[in-house]
Amino acid sequence: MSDSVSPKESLGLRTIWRLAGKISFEVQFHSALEMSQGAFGQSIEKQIKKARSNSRMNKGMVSIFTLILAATFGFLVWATLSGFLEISPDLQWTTVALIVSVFTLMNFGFLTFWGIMQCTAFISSGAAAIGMHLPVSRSDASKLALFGYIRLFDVQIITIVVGFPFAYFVATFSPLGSLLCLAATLATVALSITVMLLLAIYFHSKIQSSGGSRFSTVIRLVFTLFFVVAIMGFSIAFQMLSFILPVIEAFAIALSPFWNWLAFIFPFSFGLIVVQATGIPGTPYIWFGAASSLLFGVLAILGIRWSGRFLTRIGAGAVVETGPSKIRPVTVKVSRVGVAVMRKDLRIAFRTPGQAIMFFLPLLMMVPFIFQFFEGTGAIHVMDILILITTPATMLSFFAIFFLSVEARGMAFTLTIPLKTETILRAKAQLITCMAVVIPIVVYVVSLLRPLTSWVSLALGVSMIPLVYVAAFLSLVLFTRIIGGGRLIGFEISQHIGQMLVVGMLAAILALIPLALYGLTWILLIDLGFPIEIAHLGGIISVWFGIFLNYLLGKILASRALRD
Amino acid sequence: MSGRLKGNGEPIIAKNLVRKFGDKVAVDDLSFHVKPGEVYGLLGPNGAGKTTTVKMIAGLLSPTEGSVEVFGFDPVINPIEVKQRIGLVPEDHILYKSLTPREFFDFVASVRRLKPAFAKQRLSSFVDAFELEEYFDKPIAALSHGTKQKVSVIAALLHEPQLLVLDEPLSGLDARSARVLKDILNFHLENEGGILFSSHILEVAESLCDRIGIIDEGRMVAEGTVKELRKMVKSVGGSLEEVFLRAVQQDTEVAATVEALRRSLKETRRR
Ligand SMILES: Nc1ncnc2c1ncn2[C@@H]1O[C@H](COP(=O)(O)OP(=O)(O)OP(=O)(O)O)[C@@H](O)[C@H]1O
Ligand SMILES: [Mg+2]
Repeated sequence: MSDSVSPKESLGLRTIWRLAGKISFEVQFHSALEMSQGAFGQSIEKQIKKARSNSRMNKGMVSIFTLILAATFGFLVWATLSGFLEISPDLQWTTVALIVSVFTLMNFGFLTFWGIMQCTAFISSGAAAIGMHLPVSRSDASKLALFGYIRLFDVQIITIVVGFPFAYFVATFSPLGSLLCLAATLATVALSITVMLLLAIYFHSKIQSSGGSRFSTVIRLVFTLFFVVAIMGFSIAFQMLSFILPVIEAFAIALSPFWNWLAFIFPFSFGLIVVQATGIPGTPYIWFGAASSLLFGVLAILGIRWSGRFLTRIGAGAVVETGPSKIRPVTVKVSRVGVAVMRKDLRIAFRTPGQAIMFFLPLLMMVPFIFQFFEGTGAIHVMDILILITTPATMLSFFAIFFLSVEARGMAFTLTIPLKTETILRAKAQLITCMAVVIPIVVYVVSLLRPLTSWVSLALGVSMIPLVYVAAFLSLVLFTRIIGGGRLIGFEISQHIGQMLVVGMLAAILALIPLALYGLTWILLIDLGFPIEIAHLGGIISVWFGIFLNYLLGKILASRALRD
Repeated sequence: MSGRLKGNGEPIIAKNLVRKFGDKVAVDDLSFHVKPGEVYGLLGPNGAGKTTTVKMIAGLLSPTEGSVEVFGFDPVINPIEVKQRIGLVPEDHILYKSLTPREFFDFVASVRRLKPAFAKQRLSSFVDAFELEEYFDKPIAALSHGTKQKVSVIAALLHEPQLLVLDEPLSGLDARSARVLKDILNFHLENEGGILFSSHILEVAESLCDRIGIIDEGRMVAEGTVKELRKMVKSVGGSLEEVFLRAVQQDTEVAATVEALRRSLKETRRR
């Protein structure tokens, strides 16, 4: 570097924050623009505006979600301490410690999940390297990279950091407890960013580079498992909110003798010191709880520093490494068009963070429900099966959109292929449908645990396969219409959470129609005095009729809404 | 099917093409045609509208006004028919970066419905010619710029398209690969194929193209064979570069710009 600039003076934190905002916007804009490759002739100005509003919408949605989470958290703490929950006084401390720990863990999972989605965009935009090319000191460059990254989800972080300690304060009126809660949240944010980067970097270098080795398969699995745990937290928390209290209590009782060990483990160490600081009666004095929290705090600080440095490095292009590979003869495997599209999507999806998880979602969605079948005896009612299968079926229609985003920038290539948009969307819907096959299998497995009251339960399970196909196709068509005006367009899903929610919701409702028809027909036939088996039969016929209606709707929409 | 589809009509007929992006007019009333067996070079400075024109021809972008016909098909109305007949090498490498070339070509051959034997034979010879074996099982993301360009070129050639549309195809290719590509293009022409070629590398256009259209700010400023273009400027024996710069009236302008730049750099230079 020449002597014309002096990098000695450090930029102020405020300047860095402001510049980082520019970097983070560049990332969002970059992904929005690069994806579309200008193929749709929108002017750049329009795309900039769109990227801005998308990012605002995303942040708003996620903030609302975080605030609901914080409020639930505060409520649970308050309900425990005020006796609203009827938890015996000597168990209150362990219950609160558990609640704090669980929510800390959820924040951790949530942030990590969110961050990983932004990570791909951040790395590929090359924005992290901006600092390297500026005449600023190394430490400023890494701060710029780090803050640029953080600002991609600044609102989410702020709502978490402010929301939880605040909710805790409202619930306990303990200033010291809330302060430690704040410390715990901050450490969680820092740790989550570190872990997220570690994973993303690992993922990028290992999975993307070695297509097919056994080692990468293992990494892929670990990566996926991580998401499974994170998502499982949410799905369990939300689906079991009604009976979360007995669960918490049971866990609290089970865990109370083990705090001596738990004190060493993140997030429990934080749960423990928060409770200690709050001064809930009966809290044992475990001194190394504070020590281990301090340790995690230090780790968090080290982690966040490392993250800054690492982000700068990956920005400079140190990500994709390849190992030596054997040269194999050149061959071509020609398959049917639909199969080729599906295989390609599958390959890309399994090499993209945040997307591999989608394959496990239907199963995950059913896990909390399966638990209830272990308890109790007697035959399982059709209604229970209906509840079991509704969530995965609607969720799959919802997540179909993820499969549109799989190609990302590659979509520009897809556009050069002589295939109709409808053909490509149908192939994607078929891929989703493959995932729905797990639904009847689970119903069958459940029937091994306890008998079913009717054959119709199994028939309903099987019906979910065409139902998911039709609903997934509908949501793909609708989404293509909304973001691409009826043409395929590359996009980064994290930039379109808002539109995804709207379309997903709509598709989920459409998916529910056949199931609603089942209920209506059943009630009607019973009312008319038909025997119950006939009512079931009529119900199933209605389901298939509903699916057929959705199929027709999909066909009509595809011919109207899709161009070419 | 062997890949090549019989087309009717001329490879490309572009009539009064206009493309606007908001207020910006990227392509302005552009008309030209490419005849069978002809290499047509679209030449122009950065931002002239070459890529925009190419995208409209390939059915990736709709014209604001005017029309294109590719073997008699309008890319707006019949994008599939057009895409079947075109082999497109886009300006930036648009590929599925997490796939390996092997996986990528499997996909391309499948969606283009090629016969396995036909695809295998063509692919093998291209991979040989471009020395791509070494990279055949590496993710595309990890390949160098030029190697990505080779993948892009092979994907465009695999189905033996009747019309090749190449947007800056030589960018990043080393001398050997550039030579290979030129040979392939010549071979392509023997089968009555057409080629549209965009470039700002003048020597390449000069040696490769039968006819050249020079565009600037979206408008056709000169068109003809190299000979005709030479005749257009009086300087006998002038290189195409001079023709090119003269056509877009930049020769004096460029010289002035370069001079100004040199002066300003000199002034700001420190001891
Ligand atoms: N999506 C877009 N929005 C706004 N302006 C655009 C868009 N795409 C292209 N342009 C503008 O249209 C003009 C023509 O661009 P084009 O990419 O066709 O040029 P080009 O001749 O290919 O240039 P180069 O030689 O640099 O590749 C440029 O001024 C460019 O800024
Ligand atoms: Mg261009």
